[in-house]
Amino acid sequence: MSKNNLNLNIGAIEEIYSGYDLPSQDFPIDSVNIFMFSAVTWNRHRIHYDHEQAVREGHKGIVAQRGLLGNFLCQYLNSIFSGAFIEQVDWKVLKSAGPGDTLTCCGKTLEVVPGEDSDAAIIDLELVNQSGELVTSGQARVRAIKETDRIKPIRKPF
Amino acid sequence: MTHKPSKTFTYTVTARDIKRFAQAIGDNNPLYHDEEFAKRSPFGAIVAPPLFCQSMTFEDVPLAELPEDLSPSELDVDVPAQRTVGGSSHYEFYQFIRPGDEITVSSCIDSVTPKEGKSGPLYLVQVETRFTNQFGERVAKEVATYVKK
Repeated sequence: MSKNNLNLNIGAIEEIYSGYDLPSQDFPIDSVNIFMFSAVTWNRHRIHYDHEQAVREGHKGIVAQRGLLGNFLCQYLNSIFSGAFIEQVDWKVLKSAGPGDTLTCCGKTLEVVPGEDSDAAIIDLELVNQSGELVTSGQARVRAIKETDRIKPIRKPF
Repeated sequence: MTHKPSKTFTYTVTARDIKRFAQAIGDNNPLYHDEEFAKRSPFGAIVAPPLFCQSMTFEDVPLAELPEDLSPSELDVDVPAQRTVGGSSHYEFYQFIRPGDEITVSSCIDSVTPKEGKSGPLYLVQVETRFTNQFGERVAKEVATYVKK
Protein backbone atom coordinates (compact mmCIF):
# COMPACT_ATOMS: atom_id res chain seq x y z
CA MET A 1 0.00 0.00 0.00
CA SER A 2 1.42 3.38 -0.90
CA LYS A 3 1.92 6.25 1.51
CA ASN A 4 -1.11 8.33 2.45
CA ASN A 5 -3.54 5.60 1.41
CA LEU A 6 -4.47 4.95 5.01
CA ASN A 7 -7.02 7.41 6.29
CA LEU A 8 -7.58 7.18 9.98
CA ASN A 9 -11.13 8.42 9.76
CA ILE A 10 -13.57 7.06 12.27
CA GLY A 11 -14.00 3.38 11.59
CA ALA A 12 -11.29 3.24 8.97
CA ILE A 13 -8.63 2.08 11.39
CA GLU A 14 -10.02 -1.44 11.08
CA GLU A 15 -8.32 -1.41 7.70
CA ILE A 16 -4.98 -1.88 9.40
CA TYR A 17 -4.03 -4.79 11.59
CA SER A 18 -1.36 -5.92 14.03
CA GLY A 19 1.99 -6.52 12.38
CA TYR A 20 1.20 -4.13 9.51
CA ASP A 21 4.42 -2.61 8.13
CA LEU A 22 3.87 1.04 7.34
CA PRO A 23 5.66 2.70 4.43
CA SER A 24 8.94 4.45 5.22
CA GLN A 25 9.75 8.14 4.92
CA ASP A 26 13.15 9.87 4.75
CA PHE A 27 14.15 12.90 6.81
CA PRO A 28 17.41 14.50 5.67
CA ILE A 29 19.08 16.69 8.31
CA ASP A 30 21.16 19.79 7.72
CA SER A 31 22.56 22.51 9.95
CA VAL A 32 19.68 24.83 8.99
CA ASN A 33 17.07 22.38 10.35
CA ILE A 34 18.98 22.15 13.60
CA PHE A 35 19.46 25.92 13.86
CA MET A 36 15.78 26.62 13.19
CA PHE A 37 14.65 24.09 15.77
CA SER A 38 16.97 25.61 18.38
CA ALA A 39 15.60 29.05 17.54
CA VAL A 40 11.92 28.13 17.69
CA THR A 41 12.35 26.27 20.98
CA TRP A 42 14.69 28.94 22.44
CA ASN A 43 17.19 26.18 23.12
CA ARG A 44 20.62 27.79 23.31
CA HIS A 45 22.57 24.64 24.18
CA ARG A 46 25.93 24.97 22.38
CA ILE A 47 26.11 21.40 21.05
CA HIS A 48 23.36 22.26 18.55
CA TYR A 49 25.34 25.01 16.73
CA ASP A 50 28.93 25.16 18.02
CA HIS A 51 30.85 22.46 16.14
CA GLU A 52 34.03 22.70 18.25
CA GLN A 53 32.11 22.48 21.51
CA ALA A 54 30.13 19.49 20.20
CA VAL A 55 33.38 17.71 19.25
CA ARG A 56 34.91 18.53 22.66
CA GLU A 57 31.90 16.82 24.21
CA GLY A 58 32.55 13.67 22.17
CA HIS A 59 30.15 14.14 19.25
CA LYS A 60 31.01 13.96 15.54
CA GLY A 61 29.78 17.50 15.12
CA ILE A 62 26.68 19.51 15.95
CA VAL A 63 23.88 17.37 17.24
CA ALA A 64 20.23 17.21 16.15
CA GLN A 65 17.93 17.84 19.10
CA ARG A 66 15.99 15.02 20.72
CA GLY A 67 12.91 17.16 20.13
CA LEU A 68 13.54 17.46 16.40
CA LEU A 69 13.76 13.68 16.12
CA GLY A 70 10.43 13.41 17.93
CA ASN A 71 8.91 15.77 15.38
CA PHE A 72 10.08 13.51 12.56
CA LEU A 73 8.16 10.66 14.21
CA CYS A 74 4.99 12.76 14.54
CA GLN A 75 5.31 14.11 11.01
CA TYR A 76 5.65 10.54 9.77
CA LEU A 77 2.50 9.45 11.63
CA ASN A 78 0.53 12.44 10.35
CA SER A 79 1.64 11.85 6.78
CA ILE A 80 0.32 8.30 6.91
CA PHE A 81 -2.76 8.73 9.08
CA SER A 82 -4.50 11.84 7.82
CA GLY A 83 -7.18 13.07 10.22
CA ALA A 84 -5.47 11.48 13.19
CA PHE A 85 -4.94 12.49 16.77
CA ILE A 86 -1.72 11.31 18.35
CA GLU A 87 -2.60 10.45 21.94
CA GLN A 88 0.87 9.47 23.02
CA VAL A 89 4.38 9.29 21.66
CA ASP A 90 7.54 8.03 23.34
CA TRP A 91 11.00 8.01 21.89
CA LYS A 92 14.54 7.37 23.00
CA VAL A 93 17.71 8.67 21.34
CA LEU A 94 20.19 5.81 20.99
CA LYS A 95 22.74 7.49 18.75
CA SER A 96 23.49 11.09 17.82
CA ALA A 97 22.42 12.43 14.43
CA GLY A 98 23.62 15.58 12.73
CA PRO A 99 24.01 17.47 9.45
CA GLY A 100 24.48 15.16 6.46
CA ASP A 101 22.54 12.31 8.03
CA THR A 102 19.35 11.06 6.41
CA LEU A 103 17.04 9.33 8.84
CA THR A 104 14.55 6.83 7.51
CA CYS A 105 11.43 6.51 9.60
CA CYS A 106 9.73 3.10 9.67
CA GLY A 107 6.66 2.01 11.56
CA LYS A 108 4.78 -1.16 12.36
CA THR A 109 1.33 -1.55 13.86
CA LEU A 110 1.73 -3.55 17.05
CA GLU A 111 -1.89 -3.59 18.08
CA VAL A 112 -5.28 -2.16 17.22
CA VAL A 113 -7.15 -1.31 20.42
CA PRO A 114 -10.95 -0.97 20.29
CA GLY A 115 -12.19 2.33 21.68
CA GLU A 116 -15.57 3.86 22.55
CA ASP A 117 -15.80 6.17 19.51
CA SER A 118 -12.76 5.16 17.57
CA ASP A 119 -10.17 2.43 17.59
CA ALA A 120 -6.58 3.31 18.34
CA ALA A 121 -3.43 1.90 16.83
CA ILE A 122 -0.22 1.27 18.75
CA ILE A 123 2.66 1.92 16.38
CA ASP A 124 6.28 0.88 16.85
CA LEU A 125 8.63 3.49 15.38
CA GLU A 126 12.27 3.65 14.36
CA LEU A 127 14.61 6.23 12.87
CA VAL A 128 17.55 4.57 11.11
CA ASN A 129 20.47 6.48 9.60
CA GLN A 130 22.01 6.01 6.14
CA SER A 131 24.46 3.43 7.58
CA GLY A 132 21.61 1.31 8.90
CA GLU A 133 22.25 2.32 12.52
CA LEU A 134 19.29 2.72 14.83
CA VAL A 135 19.22 6.37 15.94
CA THR A 136 15.85 6.49 17.71
CA SER A 137 13.28 3.96 18.77
CA GLY A 138 9.80 4.87 19.83
CA GLN A 139 6.15 4.02 20.12
CA ALA A 140 2.94 5.97 19.57
CA ARG A 141 -0.77 5.60 20.13
CA VAL A 142 -2.89 7.14 17.40
CA ARG A 143 -6.67 7.41 17.00
CA ALA A 144 -9.05 9.08 14.60
CA ILE A 145 -10.17 12.57 15.55
CA LYS A 146 -13.61 12.80 17.12
CA GLU A 147 -16.29 15.46 16.82
CA THR A 148 -15.42 16.54 20.37
CA ASP A 149 -11.89 17.33 19.20
CA ARG A 150 -13.41 19.94 16.86
CA ILE A 151 -15.91 21.51 19.24
CA LYS A 152 -14.20 23.94 21.55
CA PRO A 153 -15.44 26.83 23.63
CA ILE A 154 -14.99 30.26 22.05
CA ARG A 155 -11.44 31.34 22.55
CA LYS A 156 -10.34 34.80 23.52
CA PRO A 157 -9.18 36.88 20.55
CA PHE A 158 -5.51 37.69 20.28
CA MET B 1 21.63 17.62 46.11
CA THR B 2 19.86 20.92 45.44
CA HIS B 3 16.66 20.89 43.39
CA LYS B 4 15.50 24.10 41.76
CA PRO B 5 11.88 24.98 42.52
CA SER B 6 9.12 24.23 40.02
CA LYS B 7 8.54 26.84 37.33
CA THR B 8 5.22 28.06 35.97
CA PHE B 9 4.67 30.54 33.17
CA THR B 10 1.93 31.30 30.59
CA TYR B 11 2.12 31.99 26.85
CA THR B 12 -0.57 33.08 24.40
CA VAL B 13 -0.30 31.02 21.23
CA THR B 14 -0.59 32.93 17.96
CA ALA B 15 -1.15 31.66 14.41
CA ARG B 16 2.32 33.00 13.64
CA ASP B 17 3.89 30.90 16.43
CA ILE B 18 2.29 27.78 14.95
CA LYS B 19 3.36 28.68 11.41
CA ARG B 20 6.94 29.30 12.53
CA PHE B 21 7.12 26.06 14.50
CA ALA B 22 5.88 24.10 11.47
CA GLN B 23 8.50 25.78 9.30
CA ALA B 24 11.22 25.01 11.85
CA ILE B 25 10.40 21.29 11.81
CA GLY B 26 10.16 21.27 8.01
CA ASP B 27 6.45 20.39 7.98
CA ASN B 28 4.60 22.08 5.11
CA ASN B 29 1.16 20.73 6.03
CA PRO B 30 -1.30 23.56 5.20
CA LEU B 31 -3.30 22.58 8.27
CA TYR B 32 -0.73 24.56 10.27
CA HIS B 33 -0.95 27.85 8.35
CA ASP B 34 -3.82 27.93 5.83
CA GLU B 35 -7.10 28.91 7.50
CA GLU B 36 -9.30 28.03 4.54
CA PHE B 37 -7.71 24.61 4.13
CA ALA B 38 -7.97 23.95 7.86
CA LYS B 39 -11.64 24.99 7.90
CA ARG B 40 -12.48 22.43 5.21
CA SER B 41 -10.42 19.70 6.92
CA PRO B 42 -11.74 17.33 9.61
CA PHE B 43 -9.92 19.54 12.15
CA GLY B 44 -12.20 22.53 11.44
CA ALA B 45 -9.54 25.17 12.07
CA ILE B 46 -5.79 25.65 12.29
CA VAL B 47 -4.18 23.40 14.88
CA ALA B 48 -0.58 23.23 16.05
CA PRO B 49 1.73 20.31 15.24
CA PRO B 50 1.63 17.69 18.02
CA LEU B 51 4.95 18.68 19.60
CA PHE B 52 4.34 22.43 19.41
CA CYS B 53 4.56 22.38 23.22
CA GLN B 54 8.31 22.13 22.77
CA SER B 55 8.37 25.78 21.73
CA MET B 56 7.10 26.73 25.19
CA THR B 57 9.03 24.31 27.36
CA PHE B 58 12.21 26.29 27.99
CA GLU B 59 11.80 29.49 29.93
CA ASP B 60 12.97 32.77 28.39
CA VAL B 61 15.81 33.38 30.82
CA PRO B 62 18.80 35.61 29.95
CA LEU B 63 22.04 33.92 28.89
CA ALA B 64 23.67 34.81 32.21
CA GLU B 65 21.20 32.52 33.98
CA LEU B 66 22.11 29.47 31.86
CA PRO B 67 24.85 26.97 32.71
CA GLU B 68 28.24 27.30 30.98
CA ASP B 69 27.24 25.01 28.09
CA LEU B 70 24.05 27.09 27.68
CA SER B 71 21.88 24.02 28.18
CA PRO B 72 18.35 24.81 29.39
CA SER B 73 18.09 26.23 32.90
CA GLU B 74 15.41 23.63 33.69
CA LEU B 75 18.19 21.02 33.77
CA ASP B 76 20.55 22.96 35.98
CA VAL B 77 20.84 20.53 38.88
CA ASP B 78 23.71 20.38 41.29
CA VAL B 79 25.57 17.25 40.16
CA PRO B 80 29.29 16.83 39.29
CA ALA B 81 28.70 16.75 35.50
CA GLN B 82 29.75 19.08 32.66
CA ARG B 83 27.75 17.79 29.70
CA THR B 84 24.06 17.34 28.97
CA VAL B 85 22.34 15.38 26.20
CA GLY B 86 18.68 14.60 25.61
CA GLY B 87 17.83 10.97 26.28
CA SER B 88 14.15 10.21 25.92
CA SER B 89 10.68 11.73 25.94
CA HIS B 90 7.23 10.52 26.83
CA TYR B 91 4.44 12.79 25.61
CA GLU B 92 0.72 12.49 26.28
CA PHE B 93 -1.69 14.70 24.33
CA TYR B 94 -5.22 15.45 25.48
CA GLN B 95 -6.39 18.02 22.93
CA PHE B 96 -5.20 20.16 20.05
CA ILE B 97 -3.57 23.53 20.61
CA ARG B 98 -5.05 26.32 18.48
CA PRO B 99 -4.31 30.02 17.93
CA GLY B 100 -5.57 32.08 20.86
CA ASP B 101 -4.93 29.42 23.48
CA GLU B 102 -3.25 30.58 26.66
CA ILE B 103 -0.98 27.75 27.68
CA THR B 104 0.37 27.51 31.18
CA VAL B 105 3.59 25.54 31.40
CA SER B 106 4.55 24.02 34.71
CA SER B 107 7.72 22.02 35.08
CA CYS B 108 9.65 20.36 37.84
CA ILE B 109 12.50 17.95 38.21
CA ASP B 110 11.02 14.60 39.15
CA SER B 111 14.21 12.75 39.92
CA VAL B 112 17.97 12.69 39.55
CA THR B 113 19.32 9.15 39.37
CA PRO B 114 23.04 8.37 39.45
CA LYS B 115 24.20 5.56 37.14
CA GLU B 116 27.48 4.02 36.09
CA GLY B 117 27.98 4.56 32.35
CA LYS B 118 30.56 3.07 29.96
CA SER B 119 32.79 6.13 30.38
CA GLY B 120 32.13 6.85 34.04
CA PRO B 121 29.36 8.09 36.28
CA LEU B 122 26.33 9.80 34.81
CA TYR B 123 23.07 11.22 36.08
CA LEU B 124 19.61 10.75 34.62
CA VAL B 125 17.57 13.90 35.17
CA GLN B 126 13.84 13.39 34.75
CA VAL B 127 11.76 16.52 34.15
CA GLU B 128 7.97 16.54 34.08
CA THR B 129 6.23 19.38 32.25
CA ARG B 130 2.47 19.90 32.20
CA PHE B 131 0.61 22.11 29.76
CA THR B 132 -2.87 23.41 30.54
CA ASN B 133 -5.06 25.90 28.69
CA GLN B 134 -7.03 29.01 29.66
CA PHE B 135 -9.95 26.82 30.77
CA GLY B 136 -7.76 24.88 33.16
CA GLU B 137 -7.96 21.83 30.89
CA ARG B 138 -5.09 19.45 30.33
CA VAL B 139 -3.46 19.89 26.94
CA ALA B 140 -0.32 17.78 27.14
CA LYS B 141 2.25 16.30 29.47
CA GLU B 142 5.89 15.46 28.87
CA VAL B 143 8.24 13.39 30.95
CA ALA B 144 11.73 13.93 29.53
CA THR B 145 14.92 12.25 30.64
CA TYR B 146 18.24 14.01 30.09
CA VAL B 147 21.68 12.53 30.60
CA LYS B 148 24.27 14.59 32.45
CA LYS B 149 27.85 13.31 32.54
